[in-house]
Amino acid sequence: MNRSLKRGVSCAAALFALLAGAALAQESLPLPEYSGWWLPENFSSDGVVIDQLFNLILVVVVVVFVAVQITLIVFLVKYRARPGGKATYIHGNNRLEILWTAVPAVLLAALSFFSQQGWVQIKPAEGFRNGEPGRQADHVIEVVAEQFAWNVRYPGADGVFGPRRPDLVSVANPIGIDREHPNGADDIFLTGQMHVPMGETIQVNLTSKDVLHSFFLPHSRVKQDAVPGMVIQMYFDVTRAGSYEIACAELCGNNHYNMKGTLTAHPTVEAYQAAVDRFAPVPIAEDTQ
Amino acid sequence: MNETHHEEHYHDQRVGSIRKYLFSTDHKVIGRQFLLTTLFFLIVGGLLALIVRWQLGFPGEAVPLGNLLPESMVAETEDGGYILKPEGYNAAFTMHASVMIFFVVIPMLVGAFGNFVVPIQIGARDMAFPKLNMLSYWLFWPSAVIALLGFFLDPLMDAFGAMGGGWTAYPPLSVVTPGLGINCWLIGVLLVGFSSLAGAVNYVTTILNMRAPGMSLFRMPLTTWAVFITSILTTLATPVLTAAVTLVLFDRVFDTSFFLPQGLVVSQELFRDGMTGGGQPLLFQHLFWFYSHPAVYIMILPAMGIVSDVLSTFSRKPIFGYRAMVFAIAGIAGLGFIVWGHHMFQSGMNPMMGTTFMVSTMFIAVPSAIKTFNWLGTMYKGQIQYTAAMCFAISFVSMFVIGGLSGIFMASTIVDIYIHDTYFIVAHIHYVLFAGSIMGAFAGIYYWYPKMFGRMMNEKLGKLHFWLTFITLNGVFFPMHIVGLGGMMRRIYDPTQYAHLQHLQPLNVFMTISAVALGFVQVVFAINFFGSLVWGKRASANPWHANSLEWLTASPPPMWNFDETPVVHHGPYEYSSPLTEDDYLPQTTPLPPPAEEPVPIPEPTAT
Repeated sequence: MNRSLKRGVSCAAALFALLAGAALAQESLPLPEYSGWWLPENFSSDGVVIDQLFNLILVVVVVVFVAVQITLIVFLVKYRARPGGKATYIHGNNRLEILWTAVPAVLLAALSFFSQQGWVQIKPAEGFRNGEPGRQADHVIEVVAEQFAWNVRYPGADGVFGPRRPDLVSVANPIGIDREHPNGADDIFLTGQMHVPMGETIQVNLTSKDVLHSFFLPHSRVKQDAVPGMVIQMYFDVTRAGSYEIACAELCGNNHYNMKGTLTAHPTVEAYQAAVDRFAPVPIAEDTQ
Repeated sequence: MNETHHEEHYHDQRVGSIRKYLFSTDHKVIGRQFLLTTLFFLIVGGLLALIVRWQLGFPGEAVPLGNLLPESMVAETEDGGYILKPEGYNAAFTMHASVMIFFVVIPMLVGAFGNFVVPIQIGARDMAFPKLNMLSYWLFWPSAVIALLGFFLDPLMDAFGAMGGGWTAYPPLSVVTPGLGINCWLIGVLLVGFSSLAGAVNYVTTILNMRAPGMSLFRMPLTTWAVFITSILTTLATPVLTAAVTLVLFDRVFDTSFFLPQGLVVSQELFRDGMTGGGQPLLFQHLFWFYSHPAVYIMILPAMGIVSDVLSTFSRKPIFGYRAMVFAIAGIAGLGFIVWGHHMFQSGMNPMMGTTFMVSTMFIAVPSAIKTFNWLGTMYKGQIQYTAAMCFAISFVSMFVIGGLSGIFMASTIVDIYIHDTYFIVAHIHYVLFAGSIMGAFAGIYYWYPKMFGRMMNEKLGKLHFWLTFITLNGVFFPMHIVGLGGMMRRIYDPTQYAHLQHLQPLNVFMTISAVALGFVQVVFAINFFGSLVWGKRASANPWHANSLEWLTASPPPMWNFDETPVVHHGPYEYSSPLTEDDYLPQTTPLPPPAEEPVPIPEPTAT
């Protein structure tokens, strides 16, 4: 089979997937309500840890802020210049210096400690890229960012991703899936939408074709840059069924602001599987062999 | 031994008014040149910020006076208005940041105040290398013009407007995006680095070698200490930025691949037919932040020095914990070199390095806290005089606390996952760089204006300027925390595109209105600044009754600063000493012996 025919086959498969995707987009679950001047509601397990530390830091910071500002205002009123007055000649106080060096140091060390406990859990150093085993994940999904779209790939029935080759990239095959490869034939490809089952841990193998992007799910407290030439493994879950926005948080060009995607968290694994399978490529590849 | 050398210069300076006022080697003239130039660029950077704010507050609506903007930024609508294009928006925020950082804050604090104040504060007659000093100023102009050239090239050629890849210029975006505007920006940043370096080596040499007799290092005012340590930072960090920017330029112009990985596909085409590879985008981020994080301290430390001097003078009290203040500056500078990775927690850097950078970042808050507490200690039991300079200095302390504390959120690796690249970060940098550095610079201007120009500024207008600026700046920057927590990303052309940001739009409108107001109230400052040159009261040598050496010479100081070399007897903060009648004691006046048991005055030493 010659090269152009191969391309044609993969084009047809991808186009079909895209059309099916357009039809399905109507079915996406409603977006959560957004209101109030605070963090959007959290729907993830990692987000609970992040929000707890956020709140702890907030308490520490507000206490320090209020204490400093009150002290400042009291001093400004109490020690304003009076006619004939003379300031008290004080050069400093070593005991105080030690105190206000040690107290912040201890406080900040404690915050570092709490942060580190969450960090090893959320972004473990082991298995953050190149296929090393990391966190336990129920589903593995590949996300390939490009100017200005989120390309999403599922491994299909065989559970294994086929290779991607930059030279196979075309308008119809934006991430260059090698459909000739036995593992690549059944890979499921979507653009601009992602489906996950609710409550299950998802591993995303994140990369980019062109420039830096950043995969941002505000409601799940997920953010990870996508770097061309690197496959970064990140993990998250969504604890409530519904539709959410995927945003790009790293400047990636003129349409950066519009690089949106939709994440749908399905209530059951079956519903998720069905939603993904609708994008499965038709087995044209076998007919042409 | 330096006398003959200086005499020759003295005659050189008399050549003509061009040499005297334009191409001068006198540090005082260069300091004033830097001040006026950077104030001009403050207007440029401010207008660019207003373009950004307009788009965020009123996305898609015609920009007022949009017809004046370069063609590459705007598109004409059917009803004759001009709306900002996404590329115009990207260029506006990129250039706003670049102008403010490279052409306003750094050269204003270091170039203007460092130049004018430091040699006089240490009792020197000029900088160590006067011609290098002049070169530093005259490199500034070509670098600024070249960096901004992209805005104006399009009528001549397809330059695709000014650089729009962010002031961080992360590759591959800064490499794969076509356009001469980006090359111009890179060359401009390269050149302004040389300008900074020429200044920095000059300050280090001057401060180490040219102090007056008796002016030991620990008798130097904190402004001089801050400029000294800042210059060491500049000397060590700037070459790294120069290297990084040069490599990006090579990647663009000579098709090298320092930062490009293999198999880059842009717009469904193999980039350069696949002839890239071996490069690593993260390498650039490491190099860039290795400069640009210390640069944050380059932009705040001199302001801290200025504020320390102003607070002590107008509290009529010695600075609290002088040595602790010096060590805190040095501590911030030292730690400042090992925290750069906190910009990269979510970049794909190994998370283990995130831990290291989190710990170092947390601990850099300690010297910052020390400084804040010492400023409060300085005001404790003082006689606080509310001059305009003092108002700005006090607000620096108050607002720097906000900028410092918000930094703790992003120092935490996991909280940063959420707030990274959101407006929370934008709020943080603006509390440090506007409410901090720029307000500190205003304090410095009100404080040293009499010395620089020989006339007093109007105090009432100064305080009006202070209150209007203080209120509007909080109106612009505080709500940024809230929209940031709401999840608003940085550098987006239209926040209303996102469901999770629509309910925050009223805040964006409020910030935009505040920003316009913040811009307008600077007219009060401009009137005061330029009006006082003509109508201001003539300034005496020491209008604030301050101690450091610049107040011992005439306002403005004569050629070579001092009629005779001053001899220093003590530190610069001897205010309200119980041994003296006055509440100040100039550094050249010996400390009087205690009344009861007279002790011999120690001979001044040069250590």
